[in-house]
Amino acid sequence: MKSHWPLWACAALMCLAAGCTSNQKTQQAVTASSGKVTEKRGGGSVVAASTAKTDAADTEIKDEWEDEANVVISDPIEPVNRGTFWLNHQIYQFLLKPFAKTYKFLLPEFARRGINNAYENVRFPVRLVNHTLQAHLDRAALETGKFLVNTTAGAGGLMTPAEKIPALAGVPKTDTGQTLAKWGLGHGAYVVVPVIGPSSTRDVVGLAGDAALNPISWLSIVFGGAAWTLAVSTPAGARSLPEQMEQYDTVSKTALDRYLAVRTAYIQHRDAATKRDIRSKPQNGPSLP
Amino acid sequence: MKNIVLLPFVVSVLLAAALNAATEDAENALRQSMDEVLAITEKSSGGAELAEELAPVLDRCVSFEAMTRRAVGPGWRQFTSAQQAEATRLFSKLIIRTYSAKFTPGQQPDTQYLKASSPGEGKVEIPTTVLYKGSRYAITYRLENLGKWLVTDILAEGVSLVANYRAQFDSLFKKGGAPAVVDSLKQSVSRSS
Repeated sequence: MKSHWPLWACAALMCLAAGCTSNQKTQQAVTASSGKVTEKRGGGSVVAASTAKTDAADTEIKDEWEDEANVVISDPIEPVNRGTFWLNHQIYQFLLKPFAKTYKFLLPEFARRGINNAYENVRFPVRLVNHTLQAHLDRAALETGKFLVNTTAGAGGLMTPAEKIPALAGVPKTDTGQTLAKWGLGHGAYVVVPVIGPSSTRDVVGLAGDAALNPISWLSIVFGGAAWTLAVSTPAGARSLPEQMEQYDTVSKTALDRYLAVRTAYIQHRDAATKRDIRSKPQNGPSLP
Repeated sequence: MKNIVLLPFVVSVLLAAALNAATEDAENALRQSMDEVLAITEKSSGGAELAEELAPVLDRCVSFEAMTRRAVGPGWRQFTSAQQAEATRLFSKLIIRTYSAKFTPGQQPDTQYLKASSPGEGKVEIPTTVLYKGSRYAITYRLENLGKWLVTDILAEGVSLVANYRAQFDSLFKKGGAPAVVDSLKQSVSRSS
């Protein structure tokens, strides 16, 4: 729920606090393959001796697809995170979901899509700077082309004609969290941020970076005032809320343990976004940059 | 002598041809299954009915047994045959319901197949991009040759279905063994109905 940008400053503070704590303490990382508890000290990691007994059995069922077994995140404040997760769940169920439903009911799909497109278009500096910082200059150039086409031919970004141009369609999105990942920063500790939802210490810092690069934040600083902040942040938050609620439901509704399902999904999604590169090439079509 | 020099080249060409044939077969199997699924969703009114209509097709093209085994992980060995069968039945029900719920009547996804790869013998990974309701999603299908090409995992935006459940099953298994996993699956299935 990145669009709740006024909360980012608060989230960044939490991140710094959590980051300091996690550096000082021995961290516990849960490996999804076998529930092994891995102790991490400093940069290295040592598999706890208690798991040695199960290792022989583990080899019986090999992990043919590597990533099934490699969803790892340190969660040193799990009880606190679970508490915040519960609170967020109530906020989603009783506040944000009804709000999303009303928003969906009041605005037809084309209007919702237009608003979403416009806000995404405005976030262009976030993508441009981060592609550049990741040394993906080709993607930065394509993002610029996409922005120019959508802004001019797409009525200020309300429409996305660039998606119909094969060379510009499907440019991977990026953000500051991904840049930090490319620079070699690990996830750090898993953090559930109030209202915003699942994150990590690295991504909370990333959210602050995204906020700094987002022109909507600049406008709020220039014009100031609660009314302006509310006027800009409400649609910014609402625009993707129905989709986000749907995604949350997809992951959590059929989960056996909602907290673990969301945590694993979040980490996998972020890892995949960071690793996404030119490997995939559409058949009879252009390659993704 | 000339033949010996050419041998590595011939072997590599043959291997490449065999891998290409495998990915092609797997992709054809996936395309055929997707066509069947879309033909059903096009006519269906959605909801629980769609899940029932899709079940026979998905049973043919997905290996729910492999999916459940992987999702449970090493603990699978400690399940009795009856528990394995029950877990597979419940897990497949859960997956079919989740999958069916993603379709909105009257909205058809536009799927573009990307270049498939083979990470190992008898395994093929087929990435796709799906344009659905104005949004673009990255969906990757993992297939295995288990007598015929069957889907064994689906990754939506990088999130593996199997890996996602693995984390949850692990935790449950450690707390209460196979009965805890089966009971939790039962609860989840009844919640999804």
